[in-house]
Amino acid sequence: MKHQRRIQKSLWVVLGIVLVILTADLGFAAEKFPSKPITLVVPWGPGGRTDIVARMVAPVYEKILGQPVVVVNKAGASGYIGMKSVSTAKPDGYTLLIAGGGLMVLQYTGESKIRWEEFKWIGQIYTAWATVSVNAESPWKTIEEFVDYARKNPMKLKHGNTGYGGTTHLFSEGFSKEAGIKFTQISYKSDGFAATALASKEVDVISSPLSAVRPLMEAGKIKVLALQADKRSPQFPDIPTLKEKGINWAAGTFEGFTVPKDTPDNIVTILESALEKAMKDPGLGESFKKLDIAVEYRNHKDFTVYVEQQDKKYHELLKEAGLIK
Amino acid sequence: METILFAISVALQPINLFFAFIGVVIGTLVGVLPGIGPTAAIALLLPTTFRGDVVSGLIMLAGIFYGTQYGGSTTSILVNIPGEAASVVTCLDGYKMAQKGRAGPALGIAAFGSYIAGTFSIILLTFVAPPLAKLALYFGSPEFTAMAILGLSLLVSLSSGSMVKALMMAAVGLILGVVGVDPARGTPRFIFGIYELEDGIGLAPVAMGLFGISEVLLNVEKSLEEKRETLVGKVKGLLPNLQDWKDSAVAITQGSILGFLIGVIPGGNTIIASIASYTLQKRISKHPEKFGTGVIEGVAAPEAANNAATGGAFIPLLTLGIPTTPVMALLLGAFMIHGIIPGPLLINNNPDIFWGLIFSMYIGNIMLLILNLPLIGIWVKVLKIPYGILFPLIILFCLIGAYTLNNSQVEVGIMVFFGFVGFLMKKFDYEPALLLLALVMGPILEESLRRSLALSGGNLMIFIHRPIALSLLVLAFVSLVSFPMTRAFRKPKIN
Repeated sequence: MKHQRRIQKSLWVVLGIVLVILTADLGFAAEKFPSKPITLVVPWGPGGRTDIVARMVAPVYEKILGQPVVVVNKAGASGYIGMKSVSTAKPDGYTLLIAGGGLMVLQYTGESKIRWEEFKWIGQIYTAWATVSVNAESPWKTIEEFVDYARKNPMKLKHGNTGYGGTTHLFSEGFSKEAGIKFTQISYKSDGFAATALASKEVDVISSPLSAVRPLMEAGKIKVLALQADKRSPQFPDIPTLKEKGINWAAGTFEGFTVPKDTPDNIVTILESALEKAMKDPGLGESFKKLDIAVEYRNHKDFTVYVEQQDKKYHELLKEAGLIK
Repeated sequence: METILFAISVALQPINLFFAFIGVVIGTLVGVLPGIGPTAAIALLLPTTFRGDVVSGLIMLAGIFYGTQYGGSTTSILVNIPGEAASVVTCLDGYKMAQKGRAGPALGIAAFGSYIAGTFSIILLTFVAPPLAKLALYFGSPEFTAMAILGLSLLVSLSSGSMVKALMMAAVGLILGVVGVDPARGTPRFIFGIYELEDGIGLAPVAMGLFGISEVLLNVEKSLEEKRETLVGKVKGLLPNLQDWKDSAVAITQGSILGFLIGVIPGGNTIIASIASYTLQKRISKHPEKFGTGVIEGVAAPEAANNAATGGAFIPLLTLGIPTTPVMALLLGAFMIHGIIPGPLLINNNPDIFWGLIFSMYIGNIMLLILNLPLIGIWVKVLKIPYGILFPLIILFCLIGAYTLNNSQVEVGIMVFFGFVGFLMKKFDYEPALLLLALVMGPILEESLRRSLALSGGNLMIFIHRPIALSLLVLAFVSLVSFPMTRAFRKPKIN
């Protein structure tokens, strides 16, 4: 009898301790975010641009947040596997995704459907502006000469894109529309293969960003006639933009951080202000420069508006190019 | 001379020696373990190099790449499971040698052949990299297409049995290769709602199923009929003898040269190198009918070739910044994160990286030889493990290997399915290597063929007008036609 009561008593004590710990943990979690490591999902394999950017931002971001930010690659199915794993993750702010242009396209192409509304867009990080790059031995010295030739010879010039209906395909379609020209599209697996095809004169023009064409540009095999950008690149101030030349077109792959759409606003705000601070880090700017990509920060509100605009823009382009009905 | 001394000093820094060692050890392990190949291993470890010194990181990643080519042959020879795709061909004669009790010499010639070919390709990389780099620019989509067709035509000569069955297997492999997203139009095909299949049927789970699981099933069946406790009765010799060396000399030489050249070409890779070298060896051999029964040249040639190809593959990346294989694309990422863009300026701007990396490969190859030779004794003992213990272990490693590829059950399912298919194939005398290699070549062929036709506006003349493509196609035709002819010609001789 006495023995039983003692067991009962100690059970109560244990239960009490457990309750205290549980409530303490809950209270703690509600009060302070983040209190455990954050996972940042890259929906592509390692070594690509998105992965490199994520790994550059992560150490700066974790210093500001005070918790480790672990970069995880979840590649496959054009990014769908990684993206879906975040949109269906627990909306507690501990699972982040780096995404942007690729997701915009994926909404409409392929079989696996995802929507940008499945996420809250914390903030934009960068834009890698598209280029108009041609073979170094090609006769065109300026973008005007190129466009002139292309106007006179519709469908004659071959554009090497990085996937049918993918970002560079759409960028070239947008450029064509504004300039009144038309390319024949040839699909490659990645920027690297498209750039190689340009260097070996298999295609006449590509839209891949500066970071992808630079090795072959330095090798004297490729020249960049123009940037499909809002403004000139600080590293290559001699390359004009299409807008300067009267072609009202700018495009580039943009990416930023997102979380599942049901994530509480106070957590989004914490993640947003930390990202804002991180993007002001001078070391980060320097690293971005080396990759020839431009730091382009937009906060939660602006980014959401921007993504909505981009969604419309991509959708329209896909329709006009006849890639979707 | 000064640059060479400089390279040696960079590569010999203790920290860089350490990373080279880590790289080759991981590479050997990755090669030995079924499933995980060099691409997956480098992808996993790439992030660890992002925060450290760029030379050390690259030295380690490169070590993994050429290290896997050493390790990959081990399981091919011992238990007929290719540790990675470039060792599929090694199974044909390597496993037969092991069954005859000659696993030691097979492993030995694989290690020595790998070392000789690996070092040969680095010497070429050191001296002729810049002029060879241009080769990459002569290979466009039509040449890729021709290369894939040549590869397919060579496949047939890998088979030692019925020609019809060989062609059937190649066809099945090609058909399986169309599963996934259409390369030209982006439409998903034959994925039945399983979005993991969008990237195609993975090579590694198919390989583990066709070779590993099926081999276990086959042996389980066999051990029901006859009382055997272990795979091999007795083991004869640990190292290749003088006769073995004589038999392998030509194989290692041609494997080194052919492998290196194929490695430089974009779209050519370690897998095609091993097939081409095996085929060539069979053609020039005085006793081609013995191939597939356990001849040592059949191990030496593909193993030399796949190692030589690793050296060649670095050329386009280091001199033009062009990644020609998935592994090179990952290494490009390793450069880029440190703000270094590989290309023609690399030698001048970052000689420490360029020469340090190359020289580390000389050292890495020596390390691999020292590492692998004593291991032979241990590996051979694996054959002495009783069935009851060995087989569950093989299945366990295969299951883990398949799952860890993408952390997905789909891959495990594929592996198990192909395990049963492979069992039936072996029972009815179909060669699984052909199916697997056709599965590798199919997507390359489809993508480049459709792109070539898009480029030419649907005109097949594009293959005739380009001299390299044309000569590769002629070579493919000759090899396909000559094969049954030589066979018919030789048959009466054997009888």
